[in-house]
Amino acid sequence: MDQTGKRHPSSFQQLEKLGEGTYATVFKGRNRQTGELVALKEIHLDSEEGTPSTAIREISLMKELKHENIVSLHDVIHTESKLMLVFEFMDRDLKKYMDHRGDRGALDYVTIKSFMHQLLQGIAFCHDNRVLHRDLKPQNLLINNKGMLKLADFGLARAFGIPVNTFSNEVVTLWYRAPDVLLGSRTYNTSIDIWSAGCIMAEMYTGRPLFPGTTNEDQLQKIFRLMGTPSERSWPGISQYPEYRSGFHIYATQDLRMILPQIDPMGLDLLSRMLQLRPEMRISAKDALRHPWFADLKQLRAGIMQGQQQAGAERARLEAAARAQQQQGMGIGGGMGGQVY
Amino acid sequence: MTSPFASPPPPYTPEHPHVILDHEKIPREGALPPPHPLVDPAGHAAANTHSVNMSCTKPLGLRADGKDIFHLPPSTALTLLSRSIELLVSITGDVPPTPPTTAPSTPDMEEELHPTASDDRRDGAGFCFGNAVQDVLDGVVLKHKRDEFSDDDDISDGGEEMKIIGVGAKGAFQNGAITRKFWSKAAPGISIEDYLFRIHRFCPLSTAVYLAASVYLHRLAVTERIISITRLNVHRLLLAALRVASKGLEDLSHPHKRFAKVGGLTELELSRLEVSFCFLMNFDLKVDKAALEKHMESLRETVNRQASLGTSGLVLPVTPPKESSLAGMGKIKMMVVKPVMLDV
Repeated sequence: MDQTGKRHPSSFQQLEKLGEGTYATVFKGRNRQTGELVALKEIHLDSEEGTPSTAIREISLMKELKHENIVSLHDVIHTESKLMLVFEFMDRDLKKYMDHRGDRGALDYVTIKSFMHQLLQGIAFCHDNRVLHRDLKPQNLLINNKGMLKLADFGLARAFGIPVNTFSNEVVTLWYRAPDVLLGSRTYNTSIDIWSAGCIMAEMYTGRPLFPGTTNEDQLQKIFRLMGTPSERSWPGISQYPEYRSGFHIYATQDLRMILPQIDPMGLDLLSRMLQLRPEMRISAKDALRHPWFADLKQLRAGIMQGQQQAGAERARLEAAARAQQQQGMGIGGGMGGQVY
Repeated sequence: MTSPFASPPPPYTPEHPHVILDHEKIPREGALPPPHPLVDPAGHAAANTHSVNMSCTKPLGLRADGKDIFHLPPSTALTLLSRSIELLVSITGDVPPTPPTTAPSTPDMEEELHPTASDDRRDGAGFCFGNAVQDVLDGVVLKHKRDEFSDDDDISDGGEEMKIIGVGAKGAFQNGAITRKFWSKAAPGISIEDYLFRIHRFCPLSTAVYLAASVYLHRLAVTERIISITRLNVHRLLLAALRVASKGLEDLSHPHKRFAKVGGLTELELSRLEVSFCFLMNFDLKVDKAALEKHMESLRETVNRQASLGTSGLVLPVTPPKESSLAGMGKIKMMVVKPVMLDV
């Protein structure tokens, strides 16, 4: 961990509160020595239950997961009655980003592609390291001003592939929870993170959550209404799930284009591979990254960069001209410049 | 994670019946191990055939030979843990709680061996839950960090592996301060094996948790030599290792109060040991299948070698367990069983 005088809480100036979770409060902070901005996550240590298991997991997993698309944990400081986790600072989460930058929440094509690629890279790295995130949602994806996206909040994450006794199906925020988990599976695997990623992709297109269910049953119904109600024929073994009901309302499969008219055929293909009802049919993060939809990502990013430079140069030229001639500058906006990494 | 999992729905059991964390239920010895919920079908099948081959060709002293940790019953994993830790204790012998070579001053031995609650005050920054000097800066409640533990402890640091994240927490001396927390005044009158099986009986844990606890303790005592495991600290170290492993690896853990009581500590003591253990381990608590399997193999070799040489090297309880403590536990009504006192 970092050695530069970050060992003590007083090394950080505490700034405004960024958010409050069930077991932690997050503040913006500044390193007094370096001026670097950080996020300070304070975890209360409860003498009744000891150290929260969320904290033990989050620290031990994030210490190992060093990747450009995963928020980096700089330090852990233990004070009297709490643990303070020092994270790199990110400007906002994807939810706020969409509300702030998007068109009624919806993002543009290039930003979506860039964010999806980064999201899948982060997920692939977790899965490669035998870690399930188990709580992917826009609020847990952080964005910085360089247009970088990073996975955060590993409080529900866990290592998989070891002989444990307990595996909860009370994971993932309802709207992003995979159908197999909703059906009560405790043998889920990496594919549950992919389902969440699919939901997030659709949400970036529309600005609205894809399946905003209110209860477990309502969530399943919303999914079936779009994806079609599965049967033993379409999903062998489905009737063995604890939450399976033979009386599920039968819906026909809808075309995803109905709700995402703006998506291109290639993007639609990737999305439908992530939103497979059957977990074993869902694409892996690694394969998703190789999907042809991402083939032009580099080009698109380069175009944006170039556009930014041109816009910048143009703006400078105009400003100079405006100053010289007391004219009003033409409104050259940066467009989405600066948003896409 | 307590609230969402407070009242877990019954496990999903169509193909892979789970061990239910039913506190009143005693797992049967030799019962089939809980199949792993995240079975990779291909990998699992391969491991299966492998384990069959292994058990045919290479009979070892313990049951469930083979490399497949998914087929290792928790009780066997526990036996491996117990034997290997007994061996470590017997090798270590009696040593003072703080390695004298790494401590900058000569600690008062009387005080060392009899840590008291007020000890926390001198344990350096950040390792106590109560009665510390406080300061408020920017709304953060801070604890004074004593100058002698300041950041220049890099020199005495044992290198990368010894680094502890957190305030003033790294360096051998700070580790010494943490390691003192695990010392009892006198060796508890219950053998390692009896202690572990007592925990297993009333707070059953999984194969992964038993193996992970063993990985942690071997790393601390053998690989990184941060702590010596002796008769005086072994019980507390085991309890903390098991607690931290179960919190890190399982979605549900036994109630704090119950685990503390079964382990013979107060809830506050368990809380302290737990967080201290995390820092001692530098939070490097993640384990995977490969690491657990490798560790299981080495434990097996060690234990079997020891078995072939006889039990001379193994540690026996200093004093025989009072009132034949394990017999009393057979009645399941654990809460009426006289608790083990680690601090006798």
